[in-house]
Amino acid sequence: MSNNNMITITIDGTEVTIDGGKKIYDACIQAGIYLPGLCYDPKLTRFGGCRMCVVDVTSRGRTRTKWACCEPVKEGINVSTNSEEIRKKRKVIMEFLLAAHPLDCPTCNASGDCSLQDAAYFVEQKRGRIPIKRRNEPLLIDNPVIERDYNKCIMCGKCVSICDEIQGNGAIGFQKRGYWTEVGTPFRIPLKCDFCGQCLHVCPVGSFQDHTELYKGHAWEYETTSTICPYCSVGCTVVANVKKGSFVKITSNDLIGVNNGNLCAKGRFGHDFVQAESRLTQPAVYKHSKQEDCTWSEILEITANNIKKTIQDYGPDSVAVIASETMTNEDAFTLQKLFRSIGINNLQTLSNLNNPELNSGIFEKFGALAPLLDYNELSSAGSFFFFGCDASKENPVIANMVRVVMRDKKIPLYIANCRNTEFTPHEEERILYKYGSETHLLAALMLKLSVFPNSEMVNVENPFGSPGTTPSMNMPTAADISGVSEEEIADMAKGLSGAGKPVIFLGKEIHDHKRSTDIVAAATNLANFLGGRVILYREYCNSQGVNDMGISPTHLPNYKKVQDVDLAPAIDLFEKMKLGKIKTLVVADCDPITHFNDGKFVQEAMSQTEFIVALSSFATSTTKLAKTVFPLTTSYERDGSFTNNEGRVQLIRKVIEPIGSSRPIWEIMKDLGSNLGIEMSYNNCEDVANEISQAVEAYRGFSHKNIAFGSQVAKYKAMSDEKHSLNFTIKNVEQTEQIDVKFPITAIIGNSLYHLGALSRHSKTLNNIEPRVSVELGPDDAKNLELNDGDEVTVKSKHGAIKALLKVDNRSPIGVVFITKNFEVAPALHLIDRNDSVLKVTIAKS
Amino acid sequence: MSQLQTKPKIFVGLGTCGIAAGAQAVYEEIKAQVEKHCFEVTVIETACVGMCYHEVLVDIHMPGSSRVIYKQVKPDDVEKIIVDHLGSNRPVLGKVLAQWKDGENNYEGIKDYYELNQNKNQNRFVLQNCGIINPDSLDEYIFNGGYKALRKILIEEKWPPEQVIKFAEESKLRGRGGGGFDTGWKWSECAKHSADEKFILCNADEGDPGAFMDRALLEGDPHAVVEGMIIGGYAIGATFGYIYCRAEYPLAVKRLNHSLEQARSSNLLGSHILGSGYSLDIKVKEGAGAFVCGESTALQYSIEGKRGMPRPRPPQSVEAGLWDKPTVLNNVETFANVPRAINIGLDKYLSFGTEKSGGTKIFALSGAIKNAGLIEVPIGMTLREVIFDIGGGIPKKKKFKAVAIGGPSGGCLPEECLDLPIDFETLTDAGAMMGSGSMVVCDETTCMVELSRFFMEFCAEESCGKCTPCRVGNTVLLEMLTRITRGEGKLEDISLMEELGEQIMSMSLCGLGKSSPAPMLSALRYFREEFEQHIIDKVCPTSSCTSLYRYEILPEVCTKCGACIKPCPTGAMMGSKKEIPYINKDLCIECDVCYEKCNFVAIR
Repeated sequence: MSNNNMITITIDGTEVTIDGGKKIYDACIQAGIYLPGLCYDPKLTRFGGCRMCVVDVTSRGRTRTKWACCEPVKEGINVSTNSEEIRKKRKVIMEFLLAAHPLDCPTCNASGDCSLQDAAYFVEQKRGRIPIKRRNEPLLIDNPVIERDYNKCIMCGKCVSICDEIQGNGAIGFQKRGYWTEVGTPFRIPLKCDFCGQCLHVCPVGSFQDHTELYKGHAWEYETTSTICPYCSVGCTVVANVKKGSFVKITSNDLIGVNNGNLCAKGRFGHDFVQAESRLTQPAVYKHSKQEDCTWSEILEITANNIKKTIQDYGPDSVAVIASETMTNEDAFTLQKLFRSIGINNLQTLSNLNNPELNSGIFEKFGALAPLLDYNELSSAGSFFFFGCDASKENPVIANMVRVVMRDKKIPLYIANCRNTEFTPHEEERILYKYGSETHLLAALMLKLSVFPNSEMVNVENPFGSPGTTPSMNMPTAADISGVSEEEIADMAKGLSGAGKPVIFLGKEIHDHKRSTDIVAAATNLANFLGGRVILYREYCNSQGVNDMGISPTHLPNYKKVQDVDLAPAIDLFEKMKLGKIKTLVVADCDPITHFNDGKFVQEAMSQTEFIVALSSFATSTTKLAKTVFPLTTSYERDGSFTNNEGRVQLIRKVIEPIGSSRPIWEIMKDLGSNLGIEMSYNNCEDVANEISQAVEAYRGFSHKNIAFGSQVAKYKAMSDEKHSLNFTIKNVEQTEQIDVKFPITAIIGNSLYHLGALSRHSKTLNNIEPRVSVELGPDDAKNLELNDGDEVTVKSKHGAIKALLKVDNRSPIGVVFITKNFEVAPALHLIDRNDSVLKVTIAKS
Repeated sequence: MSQLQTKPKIFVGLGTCGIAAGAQAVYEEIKAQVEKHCFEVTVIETACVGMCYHEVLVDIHMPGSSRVIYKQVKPDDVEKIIVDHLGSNRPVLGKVLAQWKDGENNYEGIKDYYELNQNKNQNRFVLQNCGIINPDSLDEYIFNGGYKALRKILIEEKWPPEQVIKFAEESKLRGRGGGGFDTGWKWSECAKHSADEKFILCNADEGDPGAFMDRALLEGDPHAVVEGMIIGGYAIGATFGYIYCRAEYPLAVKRLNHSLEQARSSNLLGSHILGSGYSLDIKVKEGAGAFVCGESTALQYSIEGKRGMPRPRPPQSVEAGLWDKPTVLNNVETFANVPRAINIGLDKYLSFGTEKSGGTKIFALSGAIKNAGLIEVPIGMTLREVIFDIGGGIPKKKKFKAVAIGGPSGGCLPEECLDLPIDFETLTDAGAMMGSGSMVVCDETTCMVELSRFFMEFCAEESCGKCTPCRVGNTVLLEMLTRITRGEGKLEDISLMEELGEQIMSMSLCGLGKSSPAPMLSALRYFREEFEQHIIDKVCPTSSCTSLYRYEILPEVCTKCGACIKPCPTGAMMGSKKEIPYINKDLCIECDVCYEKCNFVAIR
C-alpha cells in the first residue's frame, strides 16, 4: 500500500513530512497532534465509523470537511484540526455518543483507560441536550476471561477487525441494525474463540473487559513494566501492571517489541502462575524420609558436598544436568560455567536429548542457512508456506504477523500438513500428506522444480549426487508414499515458484520429528532455490539462548565444539541413568517426567539416580524425587534476557519482588560455586550479561543498559557463510517399523493454544479455559468408532494409556488424531515408546 | 409485428402489480375460456405497462387490427370479452381503455393510448417494451430492436471501448439511482485502471418506500438491462457482472435469471460475445433485505458475502471496489437507457432532456393520486404537469398538500414548488432530491410531522449502525419527532432538530445518513407551523396523530341518533337516544369506535 515518496503537508501550521501512502491521521500522530478519533488504529483496516476525527482540509484554495482516518495525505495540503466549525461538529458527534453510552464511569473498570473519556474531555463536552437512551443489555459472562457489556459499546469496530484480520477468528461481528446494532456473536451464542484478548486490547471503552482483573485497580494506580513473555519462542513484549507489589494484569503496547501489541491467550492471561499456590517458596532437603524446609546455607552445603563426593567417588561423568529452555541467558551461562569448571560436561536440554543435531548443532550443520529469520523480513516474502506447521495454534503471534502481511500484500499461502490445519480467514492451496513422508514430499516438490541433477529421479541417500547408483525415488513413488497426487505436487511447485521468495515455516511437528534434520535440510534447499527463507519453530522462550550459552554436551558458548566428545553416544542420558551410571542429576527448571517422550521410562531411570537436585518454581513430578529442592523465581521476579526465534536478545525486567525466598538460578550457581570452591564474582545479573557479551560473539555489545541491542537481530557468525546445497536423506519413517494392526491411528502430540511447558498448568485462568487433555478426531473416524464430541475416551498405545476429552473436528483426517501435551495428570508423552518414530494408538469410550 | 402475425394474441399483465390486482385468476380464466370456445390464440404473459390503477390489464391483438387494451378486467368479464372480440372482432367497449393504433385497421370509437390524458405528455422511451412484449421471450426483445446496439458496437461498427465511453459522456446520461452521477465519467475513470479482473454491477436493490420503477423494468424488459450491462462492461473492460437484486422481487429475479440463461445460450453472454473478442458473464445476486445495501460499497460487501456496511472512500469503487478490483455500479434504469440511446442516436436522445442531463426519467406515482402507477417523462417537466396532468390530481376532491420525492432520502415539496422543473439540481436546491424516482403525493389529510416521523423511523431502522451520526442521530431525531406527535414536544426541539439534522447530513459516512434527515428538514422548511401546532396547541391539524385525538361531540351536527353509545367498549359514551351524548374522559380508551360509528361526522 505504501509508496515510498515522502511528502510534506501542513497541520495546524506545523509542517509534517510523511510517507505518501499514509493518512492524515498518521501525520497527526507523527506531529504529536491529538485527534479525538475513536475507531482508528494504524494496524487495522480503516473503519471510518466514529466520525470524530473530522478535520478541515484546504487544497488548491478549497476547504472541505474530511475525516483524517480515511483521507490520504497529498502534497501541499493544509489541515486544520481545531477550527470553530470542526469543534462544533465534533461536539455534536460526542453528544450523540454520550446519549447512547451509559455514563457509568464510577462502576466501570475501564475508567481512566478510556478513549471516550479522553475524547469527551478534549472536546469540552458538558451535559448534552439529548436525553440519554440506555440499552439495558445484560452483562455477558460466558467464558473465563472476556466479559462483554454491549451497553458501553460505541461501535468503533476495532474488535471486529482485529478478531478477523489479525487473529483470523472472526468470532465477533456486527449484529442487528440501526440503534440496536451490536458487536457480538450471532444469536448471542457464547463466545467461542482463541481467547487471545485482542478485543479487550483494542476496545476504547469498557465494553470488553478482562474478567480476571476486574476491580483490582484503576489505570492510574498501576506501575507498568515492559518485559518479555515467558511462554513460546516468538518473544512478545508484555506490559506487566502491578499495584502495590501485586501482579494484576498484562497489557500490551503496539509501539514496543516485535509483536506490535498482539498477544495470545497464554501471554495475556497466563501470568497468574506467579502467585499460584503451587509455587515453591522455601528450599527443602530430603531428610527423615521426607522433604523438609531448610535454610539456604543448609541446602547449598548439602548439594555442594554431594556433588563433590560424587565426582570424587565416581568421576565427573557420573553427574549430569538437565536444564530447561525457559531459563534466561544469564542463568544458562552461569550454570554451564559452574558445571564445566568442575569438569562436568553432560549438560542437556530436553530438546537436545530428543534431537541433538537440530539444536546445538544447527549452525555447524546449516551454516548461513540456519533456520532463523528476522520478523521484519516477513513483509518482503513472496509467499508463505506452512510445512507441518499449525501456526495459529503453535505461534499465534507469528500467525498474526503473517495475516497482516497477507492482508496488505495479498500474497499466496501454501499449507502442507498431515492434518487439515486451518489458517483463517485466508484461502490457501493445501496438500495433505501422510505423516512420516515429509522428505519424500519436499524432494518431489524439488524434482518438479528441477533442483536436482536429474529431473526424473533422485538419489535418496544423496539427492544432489547422481541418481541410479543407490536406491532412487521418482514422482510416482513420492506420490504413493506421501499420499499426495502428482498433480497436486506439481500445482504447488508451480505456485511456489511463480510467487517466489517463499518463507517456509516448519512447525512443532517437524521439530519433534525423528527425521527433523533431514526435513529442515530439505526445506532449506527448497527455500534457498526459490530465494526464500526457513523458520523452524522453537518451543520455548529461550530455546535459542540456552543453546547459544552452551547448554549442550557437544558445544560450548558461541557453538565452540567440545573436544573429545562423542557426538552420537550409543546410549542416551536416561538409559545411562537406568543403568545406574548417573549418581547425581541436576534438573534445572524443568520436569522431564511430564515433558519428555516416554515419561514412564524417564521416571524409572530417574529413580535409579541416587541424588537428584531440583531447581524449580513449582512442585512437580521431578521435585518429588529430589533430595534437595531449590525454589526458583519466575521470569517476572528478576532481570535477565531471552533470545527469541529470530535470534533477537531481549531484556526481561523484574516486575515484582520474588515470592517467598525464591532466587534466580545465576544466584544459586554463584553460591553453589562458593561452596564448591569456584568463585564467580557477579554482583548482579548485569555482570553476567557483560561476561556473556565477551564470551558469545553474537551477543557482542549486549548489556542490560544497552536497550537498543534488542532492536536488531543478533548476528550469528555462522560456521560457514556459504549458501550451498544441504545434503539430506529421503526416508519415510514408517518404513522402519511394523505397522501394528491393533493400533491403527497415527497420533500427533503437540501443544494446544492454551498450554505450553511447565508454566501454563499453574495458571488458574488458562486451566479454566482448557482444564484437561483433549484428543482431536475427524468426523469420519468418530462415526466409525461410534464416538461423539465431548465423550470421555481412553487413548491407548502399546506403551500406555491416558484418559482424555474427545473433540470431533475437521482438522483431523481419517486415521490421524491430535493429542495435547503438558498435562501432568494425563501426560500424552507417556504413550510414546522411545524406540518408535510414529505413535500409533486406539481410541475407545472410557 | 402485425404482418407476421397469423393468430390472435392475448396479453395479460402479469407483473407484480397485476398479480396483486388478481391477474393470475384472470389469466387462468382466459386460458379456460379460450379452450372452452376453441379459439386458436396465443396467450402471453407480459408485465406492467405503468397504469397500475387500471390493473388487471388485458390486451387483445387480432391479426391485421390494432392492439386493444382492456382495463380492470375481472374473471367474470373474460368470457364476454373473448367471445365478442375474438369471435367477431368487436371490442367490448365498456371495458376498453385504449388501443395502440398502428396506422391500418384501427377501431372506431376507441382512443389511442397516447391520446389518453395521462399518456399525452409521457415519453415511453425506456419503458417502451414494458407491458407490451413478453419479457420471457428473447425473440420479441430482438424483434423490437433489442441487442441491436450491442451488435452495432461489437460487430457491425466495431466501436472501441473509448467510443462507447465518449458516447455515454456526450449523452449526459446521469445515474438514475438517485445521485445523478455522470455515467460516462464513471466509466472512463474505471477504464483508466488496469487490473486482472474488473466488475460491472447493476444496482437492483430498489428499497425506497413508494419506488417500483426498477421492478417494472426488470419484470417487463429484463433484456434491456442485460444489454446495457454488456455494453457498459465492454466499455470498462469488465470480466464479470453481478445484478444485485433484492430478494423481495422474486418475479424480477426469476425473469432475470431466465434472460441471462437465454443470453448465454445465444452467445450474447459468455466467452467471445457474438463472435467478438469480448467475454463477460453476469450473475444475479439476491439481497437479504437491507436498505443500506443499495449503497454502492455496502452492496459490494454484500456480494462478497460480508455484512452490508458502507466503507469510507477513497478509494472509489472505480479504483478498488468489489474484491478490491475496479468496479462500476449503475442503476437498472441507467443501464436500460444505454442501448436505447445508442439506437436512436445522440441528437435525438439529447433532445429529451435538459442542458445538464439527457433522456427521460421514470417515476413511480403513488399516494393520494388518481392515476397511481409508473410514468416516464423527459427530464425537466414540471411537478404540476406530472401530478395533475399525468397523475390526474388528487382524488375525492381533496386538496394537494405536498409531494414526497425521493423517498426517505428526499424531501416534501409544497404547492409553491409545483412549478419547479424536475431535474437533479432544482430538486436538490428545493430541499428534495430526484432519488430513485418515487413520488408519494399527500393530500390535506396527511400530517407532515407524522410523515417526517415515518421516514425517520425507516432510516433509523435501516441504518447499518456503523457511523455515529446515523446510528444514534437518527434515533435521537426519531424520538424527538415521536414526542412531538404525542404532544410532548418542546418549542426548542425544532431548532435542535434542525441543527442535529444538518450535522447528521454533513457528518455521516454514506448516502443513507447524508440524506436521512432531508424529509424532516424539508417539512420543517415548508410546514413549520404544523410542528408548532403540535407542540404549542397539542393539536394535530389533520387528526393523524392518534395520541392527540381528543374526542368531543359537535352538538350542532349531532342528530342524537345514539349510534355511538352502544358500541363503546368501556361505557365512556354516556347518554340515551334523544340527547347529545357525553364522553367520560376517565373511561375513554381512544379506540376510535364512536368516530367510525358516527354517520354524521359529529365526533372528532
